[in-house]
Order: sequence, then C-alpha cells, then structure tokens
Amino acid sequence: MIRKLSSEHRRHIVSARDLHSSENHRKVLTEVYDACVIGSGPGGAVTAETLVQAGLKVLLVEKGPFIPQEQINFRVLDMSNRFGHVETTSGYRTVLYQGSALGGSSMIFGAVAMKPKQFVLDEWREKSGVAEFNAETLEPHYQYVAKVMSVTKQTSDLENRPNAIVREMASALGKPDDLVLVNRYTSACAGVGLCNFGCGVDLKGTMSNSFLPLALATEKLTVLTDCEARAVIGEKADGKWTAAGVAVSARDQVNRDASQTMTIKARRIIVAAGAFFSSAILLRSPGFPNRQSIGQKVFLQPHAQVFALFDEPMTTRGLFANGQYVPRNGVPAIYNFLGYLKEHHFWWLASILYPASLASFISHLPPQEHFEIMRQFHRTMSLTVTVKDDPAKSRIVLKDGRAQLDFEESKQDIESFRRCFSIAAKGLLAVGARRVFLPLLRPPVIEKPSDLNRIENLKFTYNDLISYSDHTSGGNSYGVDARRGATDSSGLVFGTTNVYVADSSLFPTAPGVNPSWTIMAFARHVANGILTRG
Amino acid sequence: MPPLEDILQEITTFENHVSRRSFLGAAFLIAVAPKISLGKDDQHFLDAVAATLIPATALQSTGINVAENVEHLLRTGSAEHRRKVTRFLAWSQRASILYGGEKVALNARGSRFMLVRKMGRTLSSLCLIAFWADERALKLINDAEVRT
Repeated sequence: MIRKLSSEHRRHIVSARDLHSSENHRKVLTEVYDACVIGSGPGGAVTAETLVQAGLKVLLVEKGPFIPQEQINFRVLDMSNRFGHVETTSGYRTVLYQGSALGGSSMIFGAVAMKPKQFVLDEWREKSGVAEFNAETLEPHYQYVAKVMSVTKQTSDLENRPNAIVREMASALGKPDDLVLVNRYTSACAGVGLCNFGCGVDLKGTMSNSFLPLALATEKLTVLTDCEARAVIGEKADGKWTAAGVAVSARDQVNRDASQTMTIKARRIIVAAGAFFSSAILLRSPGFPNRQSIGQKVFLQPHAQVFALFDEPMTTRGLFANGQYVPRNGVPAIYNFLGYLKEHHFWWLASILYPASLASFISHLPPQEHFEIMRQFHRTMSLTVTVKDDPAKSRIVLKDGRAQLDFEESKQDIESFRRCFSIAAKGLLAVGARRVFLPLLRPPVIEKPSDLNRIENLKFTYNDLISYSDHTSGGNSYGVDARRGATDSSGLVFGTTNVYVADSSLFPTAPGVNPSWTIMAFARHVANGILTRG
Repeated sequence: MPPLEDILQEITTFENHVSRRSFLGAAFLIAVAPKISLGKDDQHFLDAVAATLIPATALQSTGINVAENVEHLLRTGSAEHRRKVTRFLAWSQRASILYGGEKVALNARGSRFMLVRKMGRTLSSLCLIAFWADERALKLINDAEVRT
C-alpha cells in the first residue's frame, strides 16, 4: 500500500542546511536521541520504523536531499543524476551506483523482491559459523516487510514482449523450469519503465511511501537530510568501546560539498549507509575497535546489459498526458531466469530500456548504423545479466579520508560473464534476435549461431566490460566471533556496546538475487535485537 | 543505471587512466582548470562533435541543441559532476588536435591506446544521450515506425 508523505510528516524532515534557522531545528543538535540511524534506504528506514514503533526517539540521517514526489517527472533530461551517487573501484574496473536521496537505493531500484536460495544461506552459515540464523529466523521479518511494501507476486498476464522473450529463451535453452515469477514492491505497476528515476506515477514501493510515513506518523522520528555522517564518536571504557554520537556535515544542495561539521548525540548508533559508506564511516571513527575486520571482502554482483534487435516490436510508444510524454515500456521484469545461478553464478531478467540508455550502450557503432538502430528502438530489448561474484580482492580502504574500493575481479567471475554472454546470445538468437550486442568496449558482431565462437575466444577484463553494480554487499559480515566477522548475528559490532550495522554489508557472501527484501528483513532483525537488549 | 551516471563513471575511469599514466597524461596536458559550467568553446565543440555523430537532417528536424541539453543535464547534478564533465571536455578538445578536430569521437575509436578509445566512447555517449534523452527525438523513432 502506497502511503503519502503528508505535510504533517514533512514537518519532521529537516535539511541540515536549515539547522540554524529556527529554535525548533536547533533542537536536533541539543537533543540526546535513543538511537541515531545513518542512511534512509531499505536498511535504515526499516530499522528506524521498528525502533520508533517501540517508543524510542530516533534521528535518521540521510546524505542526499529530500525529493518530493511532486518533483518527479518522466523526463530523463530532468531526472538524471538526482537520486544516485556514483563511485568507481580504485582499480577503475567497474562502477558502484547507490541511492543518494531520502529513501536511499529504493528510489533507484527496479522493485524486484527476492529471497536468497538455500545454497546461499548454506554459504552464509558456513562462512559465519552462525548456525541459529537461518531462513526460519528471517521469515517473520520478510512477512512484515511484504505487508508494508505490498510485495506482490507477478502474474503471467502482465507479460510484455521482452518478458515473453525471456520465457521463450528459457525453453529454447532447455530450462523452462528455472524461470520464476518474481515478487515486486507494487500491486499496480503502470509499466512506465523508469523505475531508476523514483517512479513518476508513485506506484513503486519505496522507503518514502512505506516505512518512512509509518515511522514519521509516530512523531518519534526526525529525519535530517543533506547531512553526511563522517564518523562515530566514542571512547573505550572497561575494555569496550561505547559510542556517544555521530560527527556529521551539512551538504550544500547545489554543490553537494560537505561543510559545517556538527555532532549528533545518541545512545545507540545504527549504521545503514550501504555496503560502501557504512564501512567508510566505521573506518573513519577515531579509536574504533577491530578495524581489521571492517570493510573486508565486499561483493559487487556486477550487472551488464545484453541488447538484442528483433524484426518485431518489443515495446510500444508512450502517450502525451498533461503536457508530458509518459513512456509505456511495460512492466520491467516479471521473470527471473535462474537456470545457471548455482552452477555458473549468473542470472538474468528483462530490463528497463529507454532511448537514451540504448543510445549510450551502442555508441561505439558507426553514426549511420547507430541512427538506424535508434530508429528501430521499439524493436530492441535488453537483458540485465548479473554475476554472483567472488572477487580476488575487494575491500574498503581510506585514502585521504575518502573511501575507495580496492578491487580486483577473479578469473572465475570473468568466466561467469563469458559463459553468460555466450548462453544469453545463443538463447536470443534461438528466439529470433537479428543481432545481439554485448556490453564490451569492442564487442564482436553476433548475428548467427556460428558467431558464438567469437565469444568463446574473447579475452577481456572488467576494464573492457561495460558493467556496474548496485547490489554492493559485504564488508561488515556477521560471524560467530571477531575472527569470522565484524558483527555478531544481531548486527552489534564486535568490541562495542552500542554500534550496530543494519544493511547489506552484513551479508557474508553475495546474495545471488536482488538484495533489498533481505536487507529489510535483516534490518528488522537487528532492530528487534536492539529492543530486546534494551 | 541511468545513462548520465554511466557517463560520469566513464569519465572517472578515464581520469584514473590519465593520472596513472604519465606519458598519456602529458599527451592530454593534465593541468586543466576545472569549471562549473560549459563555456562557449565547450558548446561549439559539443555541437561540432554531435554533428559528426547524428545526421544533420535529424538535428534540424527535431531542433535539438546537444550542447544546451548537456548543460541542462549538468544543472541537475552536483558541482563535482559538473567539474568532471567540463574537465573531460577540455581534455577532449586538446586531444582533438591530434585526432581530426571535430571528428575526434570517431577517430579516437580506432586508436591503439585504450585511454583514447575510452575517451572516444565517452564523448560519443555524452552527445548521443543529450540528443536521445530529449523527447523531440522520439519523432524520429515514431516516423520510422509509420514508414514500416
């Protein structure tokens, strides 16, 4: 169910830039909160909601701005670059894309809700040494999230042509049973296909129209936007480190440069800024314990897009309504194809496509050819392929106080991509694609089955691959002790009395599916642990 | 991932290449003063490059100005992103001396240097996104549909 952020709710959303403008706002700096939650994405918003429902007074800190729904439109020219934050790995091999607005990554995700497969949960148990934390532990939390976020199983009657292609591919590859109908955070998708831009029709479940309105309605929550958490402040006493607050900087809306450092005082700190920034905040915290465990082994689950050109229309044109062009690209993904996940570590789904994204993707083509393919935009479709990765090296490090991901892919991950391209191209040709475009700087031409050999002979690294990651996880994984992880199974950081992690950085390995539902289930588990501990 | 963010990533990887390779860094004349908006030179350069990537009839019939749209895209982003793009354009303009002036985006694709190839792709993408993200470009797609 979509909940609106009413004017009454918005009264409790304060920009850090306005903190000194009124007595009311200044209170944020003098109050001692029961908890300060860093990050308003799926981890932070769910944690905050659980804590305020139990009566705790909570401050939620968000680095990005609050973008009200009424400011969201369907123009790619207007919406680009507003909701997300881009980082690259230090080895400049791939990119990390994270939400940076109130609602965090829920503003940019495709609203696909999935649970990890059993073999992934087995990996987590083996890696962490924690036996009691399993599917049964998480299930009630999944259910609660499902209720708040309108998690809805997609039905085959929503199938558009790109989704039908994915279904036909599964059959052509001899794996029809490995196609699953996904759940999505929406009970009434309009099929605009611009989920990456917040959803102009407000039908996608995000934190801003689910957990945050619920939490704000309690009047126990204050949200501080445009505010970057720099470090947790605390000290060691009796062998344990106890946090007293968070050092934050207001961020200028236009320049987005940090300025004006302040301290927020709180009895508990919950870090939920995403796998990249959570580790950075903890590593920047003076005197923080067990630093050697923080930011280690981060997983990217890199995505790449495989495009195909067909002779028949894949999408239809949009409509002009109220002076705006509203695309009708169809429901983005109703199926997930998991036929090679366990064996070869990849999966795919039909992805969102609009002219600007296609134009960029095939920008290597000669101008006339590029133009002719663009004119056939409605005959193209794309698969987002994702690799459940296990990098050779991948850890968060600080360089001049700024976080970087020190990264090197593994041969196994490159092999997963190669195999994925080969099988996806084979499947696409089998169901009638006239040409397949691979996400490489110099892709081979794939127009007939005999061209598939070219993929087998390709030599490439992530440098040659046009890939990105918005499923970043790991870095502060839970474990049975400080040798096996950075936190215990309730998210409490080892060596501290009151610092918790509540986001995807808790995952011991890559989840192998879209992670948001599991992040929210973990966050509720962490919040319940905080309440139990008192 | 949205296309402009993709461009910013490509520019960042390009910058990393420049900073890591002193010879190529020198070739690109590293010291470029960052600006926060497009200058007249940048606008002329973008329009000239766009004209090599997009048919003249398409630019005329839609009335799309690529440099104006790049400016619009940058206005919604952070100062850091604007600086990245303007610095990249300054590098590209300098490289264009060696790679055929306004045909730099096309000629760079054939370079034996990976850095130059990446620059060519990024510059092409920036111009093409600025054109195809504009709703007026849909007319070209819709006209083609009617014809077939």
